[in-house]
Amino acid sequence: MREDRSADDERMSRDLLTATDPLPDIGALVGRAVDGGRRRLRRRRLTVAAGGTSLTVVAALLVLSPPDLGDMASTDDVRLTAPSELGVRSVVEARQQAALLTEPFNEALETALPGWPAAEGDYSRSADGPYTGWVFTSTNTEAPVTELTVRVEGPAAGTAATRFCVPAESTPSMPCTQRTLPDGTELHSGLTQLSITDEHGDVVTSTPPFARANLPDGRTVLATVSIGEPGAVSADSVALPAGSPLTTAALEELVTAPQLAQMPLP
Amino acid sequence: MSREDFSEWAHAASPRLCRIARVLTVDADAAEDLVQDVLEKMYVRWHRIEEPDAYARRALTNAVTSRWRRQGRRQETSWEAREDAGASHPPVYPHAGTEERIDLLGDLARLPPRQRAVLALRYLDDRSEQEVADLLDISPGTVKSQTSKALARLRHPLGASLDLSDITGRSGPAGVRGAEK
Repeated sequence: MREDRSADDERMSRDLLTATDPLPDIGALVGRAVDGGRRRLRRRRLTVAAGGTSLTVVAALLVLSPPDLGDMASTDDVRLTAPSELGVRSVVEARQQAALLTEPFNEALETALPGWPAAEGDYSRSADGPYTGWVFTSTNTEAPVTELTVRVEGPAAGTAATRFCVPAESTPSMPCTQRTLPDGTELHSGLTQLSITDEHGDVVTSTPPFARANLPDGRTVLATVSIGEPGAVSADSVALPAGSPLTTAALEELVTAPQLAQMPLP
Repeated sequence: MSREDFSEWAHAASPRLCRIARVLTVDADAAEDLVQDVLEKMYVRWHRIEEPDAYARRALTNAVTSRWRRQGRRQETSWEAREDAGASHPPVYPHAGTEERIDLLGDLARLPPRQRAVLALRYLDDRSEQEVADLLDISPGTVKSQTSKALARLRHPLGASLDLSDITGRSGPAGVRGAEK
């Protein structure tokens, strides 16, 4: 630390302290950061593994995968219509909008997954900063802890090109389906084989369901499931219990819910 | 360090980080967003971070300066490039006795991110030139020159001819603080 501070230095320090008042709610900020960090940790631990071989293909769950683009609509079907946009300009505004949109999301959630815990909404941003959509997270704290994450995002997020299914020919035990609905929605769903690394470096496998709808207006609605508490991962803790309502069909219903199709984007 | 340690550290460190981010971004919302983003990343990597205070400061400054670089240096104003940057805060008059009313945040917005980073670390974080140099991965000489340029621009926010003695207590360029160290 400096020892030779002049009066001018002291004055500049005071000026900057004054200029940077008031501080935000530090407790809330740290709470959000911990929640966000836990979500990042879950995603980081979810790695796609090619089953049945010694070769493990590790890929981040949300990495763009050009080959999967072939699963999407043909060039003729490319929709250029821009989704409706709210024109969100600030973090505060984004959070307010996310909170407002949580209500219609929870209506859709209750329809698709009756009795499932209500979700909390937040905004999503690209690495470059623009707001790209909304993220709704619902956590069932009963063992095994299960987190359902639904992202409603515009084309800029790149979610439509995210790869989830390991090709069926290499992993026939992991069915993934793709079909086009009458309204033009491309619906992808199935199970994702995930290798989750615990803090000791041990790997356990999980096969949670997912569903993704690439809507005609260019938005993507993606539902993913994470099973197991970070830091407490075991083979038993990353499997859905028998009779879990988190089925592929339920997620398909959720991602195609009209509330999400009509949800304005940031 | 456990993740319980993270919460304890984050609660203690965040006020200072928020102030630094505020100077870096010149926008309250963007600053809060930036700090949250950095804290989230640190939470994930917590057990591998040996010096969290230094790590956080590097992450904050890198986020802002790299964004600036990505934008091809087309703008030098703020992280969020918000038109209302600094406008939501009361004016600060750092130099009582002068008739020049200086909105410090507004003036900071006119500085390049690197200069804002140097000022934040030097004057808000009370770091030495060597420490700032280490954090920003630049030479102490660059810290000195960037500090000098930043202060000069703050004294002449609109290119007006001001009497430096109003601000520094000295006259002329020699009064620039950074040049003396």
